[in-house]
Amino acid sequence: MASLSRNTDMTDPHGQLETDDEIPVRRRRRQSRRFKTYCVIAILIACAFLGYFLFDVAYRAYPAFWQAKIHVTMRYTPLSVQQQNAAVTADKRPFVSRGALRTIPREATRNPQAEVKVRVDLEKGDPANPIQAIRPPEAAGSLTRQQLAKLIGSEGKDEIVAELRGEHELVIEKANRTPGQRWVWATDSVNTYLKAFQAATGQNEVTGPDATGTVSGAIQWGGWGKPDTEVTIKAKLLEFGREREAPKVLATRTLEPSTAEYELSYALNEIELGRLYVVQIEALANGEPVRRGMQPVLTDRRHRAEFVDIDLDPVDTSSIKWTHWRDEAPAAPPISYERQRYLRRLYLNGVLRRRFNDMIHTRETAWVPAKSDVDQYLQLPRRVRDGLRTLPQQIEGLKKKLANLSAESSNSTVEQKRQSLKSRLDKLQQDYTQYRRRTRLDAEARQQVHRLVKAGDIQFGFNYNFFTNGASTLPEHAGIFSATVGTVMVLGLVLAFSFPVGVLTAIYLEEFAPDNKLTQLIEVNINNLAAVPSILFGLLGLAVFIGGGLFLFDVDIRSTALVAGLTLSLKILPIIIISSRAALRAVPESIRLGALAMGATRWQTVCHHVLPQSLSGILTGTIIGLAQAIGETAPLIIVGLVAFVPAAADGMMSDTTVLPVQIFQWFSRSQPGFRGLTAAAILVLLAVLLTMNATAVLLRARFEKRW
Amino acid sequence: MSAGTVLILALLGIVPIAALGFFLGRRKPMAALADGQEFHSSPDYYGWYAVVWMFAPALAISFLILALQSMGVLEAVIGIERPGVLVLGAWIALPALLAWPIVRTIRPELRARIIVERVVYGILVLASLVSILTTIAITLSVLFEAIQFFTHPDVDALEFFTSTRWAPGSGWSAGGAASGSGQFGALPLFTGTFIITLIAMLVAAPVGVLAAVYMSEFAPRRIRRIAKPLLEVLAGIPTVVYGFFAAITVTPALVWLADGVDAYVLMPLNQALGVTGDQMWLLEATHSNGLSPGLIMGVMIIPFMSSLSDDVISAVPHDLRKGAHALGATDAEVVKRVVLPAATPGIVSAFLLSVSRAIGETMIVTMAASVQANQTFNPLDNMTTVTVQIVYLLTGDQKFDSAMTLAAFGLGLTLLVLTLILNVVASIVIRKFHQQYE
Repeated sequence: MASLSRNTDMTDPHGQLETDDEIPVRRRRRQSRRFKTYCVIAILIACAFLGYFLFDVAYRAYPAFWQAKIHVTMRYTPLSVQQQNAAVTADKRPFVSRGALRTIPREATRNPQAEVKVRVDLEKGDPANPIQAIRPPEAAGSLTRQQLAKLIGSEGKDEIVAELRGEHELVIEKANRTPGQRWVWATDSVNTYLKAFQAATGQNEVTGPDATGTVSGAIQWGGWGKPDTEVTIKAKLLEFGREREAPKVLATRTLEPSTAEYELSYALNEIELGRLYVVQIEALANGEPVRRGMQPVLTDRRHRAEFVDIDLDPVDTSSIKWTHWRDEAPAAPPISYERQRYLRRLYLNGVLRRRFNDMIHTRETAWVPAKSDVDQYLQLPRRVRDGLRTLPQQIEGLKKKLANLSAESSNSTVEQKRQSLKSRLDKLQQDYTQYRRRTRLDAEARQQVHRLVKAGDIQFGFNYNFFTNGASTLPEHAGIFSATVGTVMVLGLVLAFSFPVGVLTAIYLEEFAPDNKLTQLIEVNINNLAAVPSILFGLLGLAVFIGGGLFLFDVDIRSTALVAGLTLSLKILPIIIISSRAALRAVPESIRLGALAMGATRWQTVCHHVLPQSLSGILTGTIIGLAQAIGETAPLIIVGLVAFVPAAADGMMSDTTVLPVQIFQWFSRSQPGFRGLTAAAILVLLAVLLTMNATAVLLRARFEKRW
Repeated sequence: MSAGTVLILALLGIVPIAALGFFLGRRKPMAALADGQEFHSSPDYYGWYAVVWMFAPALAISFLILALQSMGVLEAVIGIERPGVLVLGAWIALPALLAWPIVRTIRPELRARIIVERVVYGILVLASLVSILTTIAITLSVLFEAIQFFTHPDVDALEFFTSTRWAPGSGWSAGGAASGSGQFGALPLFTGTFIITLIAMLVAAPVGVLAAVYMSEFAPRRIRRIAKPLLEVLAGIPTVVYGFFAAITVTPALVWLADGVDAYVLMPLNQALGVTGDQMWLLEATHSNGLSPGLIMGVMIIPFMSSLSDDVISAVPHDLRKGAHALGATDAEVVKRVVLPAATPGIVSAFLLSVSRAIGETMIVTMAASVQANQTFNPLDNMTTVTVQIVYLLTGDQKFDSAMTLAAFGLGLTLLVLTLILNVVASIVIRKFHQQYE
């Protein structure tokens, strides 16, 4: 064969190929095959990594798309409106997400169909003094004008004034009403109270306590309790005197099943109060005591009882705390008992009314998100969950066996047996500690969760919160919505800024620029800018946009979409310029020459002929640039896009976050629930990127012209 | 009224005013065209002419206001501290006022086309200057703050590059509160950056080049069509995602691996050799070691390296390959002895650009590497990098002029200079390569 040693090609700087003569061809072929194999392996490594990586992220993300939901019976009562926790029964309360507990009372008060109105009889009068014009309806009894006026909300007052001025007439509803009669909006507190006042229909008749301290009467609740729950409640009404003396039992009675705590709160509302009463509950579920009890807030002018969980067996009155109202003004005093009674009386007399009979949003039951810890526990592998349940028993059993063995006389077989038992015990204990570390629920809570699952009260549902909510400190309520809105806004800004500037620059460099030093400088500079680390763009944004923004406007544009968009625009600009230049360069010279020959100016040539021909290429480059902008994180962290954004931003100048930054923030959180959310957000981000890149590739394939 | 609403109102105002000007300017020439009267340029140009002259004074006034503001005159004379609203006002009021007078100047002999095209040319030049301005702004903003940092009383410039004690925020003022100063010896940061970059390149360079060789030399067309987009997908994955993977999957795996090696290989070995106590040779991987971000950064750079190398390998003239084949060389020999040597400058340039990218990479190391500075060459130990520290220093609640914040700009300057040198050298090398074959 011909020797390669005489190879004088300039590209072979070594020129040391003379040894090839001595190597047999077969071996050289083998070497060649081996080399090819290495290359294939390199490609396979890259692809295998991509595959494993996607699998890993998807595997971690999967649980986040599902959420344990818990079936609760909800109570919209005055108590549940004032006190979040009271809306859900105590057995499920520890497992229900705090977010859900917060929204239930809010739902109760926000029901738009449940506006409360006050009835007034309106006379002609002076608009400046509307109180003189209103007259309490006869049914209200001793109600004075002033008292009536206090019930009327600001909207209602506006309505009355407007009618007195003759601006418009309040509609007289229903034909059978007397002519002067109007219904106007009540104040917020009346509204809140009555809206939540489910049982205000006179079904509760409780009297007492009488002189002996006995409460009598019956409480009926319109279809509330779940009949299948057999819970017996014994309540003792305890009286505190004005001084802090020991409570004494006033009455003992058995109440309706299931949700006795609410009933009790009502029972208490019915009890004439001159002093402060505290209720102690003894709850028996199927004969077994239920551990948790509760104290409703009961107030008079002097005292306030705090909510305390009292341990029910044995009854220990010392666990009830109470404080004096005088010492500290409460943040938001609930409606006092007297006022509640008063409002109810008005309602029954027909002075107040709800617009619809069933105005309270009373869903009997609902599926609400369970706490993230419950969710995490239930999504553990079955092996771990079973292990958590059975391992303690196994460990106990082994320990007993060991103890029995050690009682026996020791000989070699016993010793052997003991050794094997011990190693098994060690292994089990190791497993158990490992498993225990994977959940935050203690043994008792786990048992309860299992009981709820068995009863069908916990189920898995699709995690809609993930797509509809913004940032939250609760994993079960956190979602990517506000980050998505932020990403869209930032992308819009990037597009609005870097697309025109980039394309104009490309047009200048390709079509207009003279070949001089400045042009060369710009070209070198653009290539260079494309390789500048993105974090330096963050420093630029911090120094120029935030510093400069303060210089121009009296606002802090830190962590806004505006500063993020501007910063990313500069980062993406070189990419758009380079790809647009390539697209412009691909348009053949003959088109330009033809246009020029027809008498077009250079700008007309570009604008009418070159640009339309290269538009698909430019758009492809822009999409790829935007895809890169979506994923940028570091510069945005530097310009302060790390704000906690629970609700989607409403403009360029409000606090914003974007998807990758949200991912980073979730990653930095310690709760295990956020781990899955991070992976899920990554999946969404990757899906968006993949779609964009695929669009770019398709666009290129569809519109690419071969000249 | 917030600045945001002002901005939106302004944008909403400017567009209709511009459109109005355009149509007003076009009206007369259009009518004339219908009459058969000759204008110098086509009607659209008169529309644009009107728009240009409507907004030119606004632009000039804006610059004037900004100049006055930076000189402090504005505040002294009319007492306006932030002229943003004034500027935006000028952009609405002036064009609206000027629209009619300008439209009235339109006459048949007015050479609108030439004027408009000149303005367009100016706009094109301005647009292309944005990128230069960006570079200048980056350099200056980093430079100024960095100078402030190096001349800060708490900071010793020499110590910055030679000391191994990095503890920003450890200084305490007389009052007992953290003063934002501390010890700034950045050597551990540079070491960490170097080691992690080295690991990344050890992964990326061989795999990237071999993948590029396969793609451009050996791959059948069908495989190329599948594998190339796959590599592009790999290149498009955001670094925050890689960081998550490194921290959540790779680091625990490495720790587990190191423990396993300890238990099943090194411990028996130590026992066999009779080594005990502190002398025992063990692998100890920490949970924020440098190896994991290094490896993943390498994977991140593979497609970058591979596509750059692919470009240069494809640019090697086919005659060279044909010649070598004709002389009886096998495929591998052609690649190893002819194509790769020819493409060496391009591959070196790709390598340098990749190194520059690895040095500047932020999210992977922020998520997977340590925050604590630790002067070590052991990749299994805690390690921090320049970029991690920039993020760490700038996300705190320090004052803008405290030494801690300024230190971030000092590090930024180092980063800028380093990457700039690498990029420039890379571009020089690649230009040499292209000159050779084009």
